[in-house]
Amino acid sequence: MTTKAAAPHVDRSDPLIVPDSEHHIGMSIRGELKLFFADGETLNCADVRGMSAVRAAKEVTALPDGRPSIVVTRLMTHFHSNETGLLIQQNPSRVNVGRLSGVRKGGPEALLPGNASFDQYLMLSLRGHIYVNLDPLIMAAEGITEFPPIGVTFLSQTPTLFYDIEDLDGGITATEPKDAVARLALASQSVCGSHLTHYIDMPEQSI
Amino acid sequence: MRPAVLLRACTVCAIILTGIARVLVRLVSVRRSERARVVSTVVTETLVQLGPAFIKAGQLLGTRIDVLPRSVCAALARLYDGLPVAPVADAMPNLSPRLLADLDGTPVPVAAGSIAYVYRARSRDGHDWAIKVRRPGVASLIDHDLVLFGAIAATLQRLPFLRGAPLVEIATQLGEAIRQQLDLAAEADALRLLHNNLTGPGIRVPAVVDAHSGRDVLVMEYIDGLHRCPMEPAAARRAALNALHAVYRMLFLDGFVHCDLHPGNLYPMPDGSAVIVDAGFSRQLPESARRRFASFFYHMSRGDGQACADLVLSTARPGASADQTGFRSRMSELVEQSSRATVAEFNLVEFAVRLFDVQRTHGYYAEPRFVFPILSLIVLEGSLRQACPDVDFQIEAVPFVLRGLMR
Repeated sequence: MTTKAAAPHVDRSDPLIVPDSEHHIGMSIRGELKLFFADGETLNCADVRGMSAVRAAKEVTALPDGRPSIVVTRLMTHFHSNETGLLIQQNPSRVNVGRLSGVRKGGPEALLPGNASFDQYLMLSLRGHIYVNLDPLIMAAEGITEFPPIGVTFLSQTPTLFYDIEDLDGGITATEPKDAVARLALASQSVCGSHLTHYIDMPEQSI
Repeated sequence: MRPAVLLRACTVCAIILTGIARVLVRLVSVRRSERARVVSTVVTETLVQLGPAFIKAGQLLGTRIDVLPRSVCAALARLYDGLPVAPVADAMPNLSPRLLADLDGTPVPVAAGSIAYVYRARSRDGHDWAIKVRRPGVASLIDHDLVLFGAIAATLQRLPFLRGAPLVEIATQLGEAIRQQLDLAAEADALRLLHNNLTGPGIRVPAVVDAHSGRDVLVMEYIDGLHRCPMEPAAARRAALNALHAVYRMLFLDGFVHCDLHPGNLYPMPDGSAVIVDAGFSRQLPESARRRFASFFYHMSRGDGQACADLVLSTARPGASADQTGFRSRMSELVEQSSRATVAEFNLVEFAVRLFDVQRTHGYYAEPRFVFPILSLIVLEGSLRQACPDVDFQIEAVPFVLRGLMR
């Protein structure tokens, strides 16, 4: 297996390393993340941490205003909370994509500094149930100067409803709730986000 | 129009003209700096003379410190709890012998509202009770005024800049709400519901004394200390937040809404709690409306104008010139501008006016059922701006909106 990755020793502030790159990173939740249940229970998830992987597309496109933009695909999301038993994973049946867009006009060399935003479709495993969101959970960060943006916090300030897959017509592949009622919600009442803590080196190697 | 209503219309005109004359006369003899206070005082006195329906309108206006001068609000505040109380002899004919037999001593007048008087009494078993009794002759007076309001709404609705605003429907529903306040048995039912739904840490709603409550008299627990006095800012802030959370609970979870939370019906207490009284103007939202209302806030907090537009379109009635594309575009703009604003930046009245304006200019007619929930928030907004101007309306709503959608 060969894994391409931007090794830690490369200049991560060089925008040209972004296209066709792939990285794995460690993350932890910063701020106040809460799970709201229908019955009134609120669960504070203070100790959530885990890792994620992102691949950047090869092609850089131009936005209507002339700024460069590149599609970034979330390959993996895996968070857990020891205190609550919450496990957060990516919903494999939905595409989790985002964009990194430069703040200046230009080609790939203007991708950094840039702003990034991801639409995330997740699976939450908790107390024997699996919940999925149908509206995307949007995570965004501005003023990214390095890639991967270690030390940056991707903020989510929008509440997101989650449905028990048992209630959804189509289970994890459902895209509409139809008659299903949401069973829990992920939200924060303060600034909250996933903070990129460290880069995981996966050196290129052949087996 | 019935002769009695015509007579009432003449009386209303005469009182208003007298009020204008009093203003003009007094303005001649006061300094420029005193003029606003004089005008607002005469307006308040005129509203009291005009009677219950007009007092209600004045109470609502008095909460709008952001649109009216403070001196005017201060003068209108007298309408909440500065109305003259009535001697207990006025109430006696309405008090049943059984109730009187259960009292230890004679009731004492403590407050007067637009519809009723309130007396304090002690029961023989040592409980303090508040006894609410309808003002004499209030029912026919309100009947006549509501006919007038309907006629005024119909006239205003013909004006070009108000065409499409459901003024007649709003006047009709407000009329129903005011008439509902005449029925103290209905108020007792509403108070029981609110007591059960809201009472907990931070909120108190008086309990109804079922044995003595009926259509003309409402007997309830007397809560001491319901008067406005200077409070520690921290306690005032906690009380305002407790009140805001109670409103969110009513709107998004229970669907049973107290629509009249002006300062005469909502009391911050020194311990940071809030007391809610007078459930006469309460409304049960249909389940579909409660859910749509919660959905609207959910999508607004996500900045999703298209989803908000879908929700409004699912309830609004299209006119002949309905323009869905234009409506969606303007709605997105409005939601984007309004989402995630702090209470200092987010003006609910302005938002509501713009929301109705967007509908009207694109040929849609608003669903009047949504006016009442907005009204309850608008009435509270004035108090909240004073006590905690930094609170984010939308952040505070999140847990209630989410749980409302999970029902």
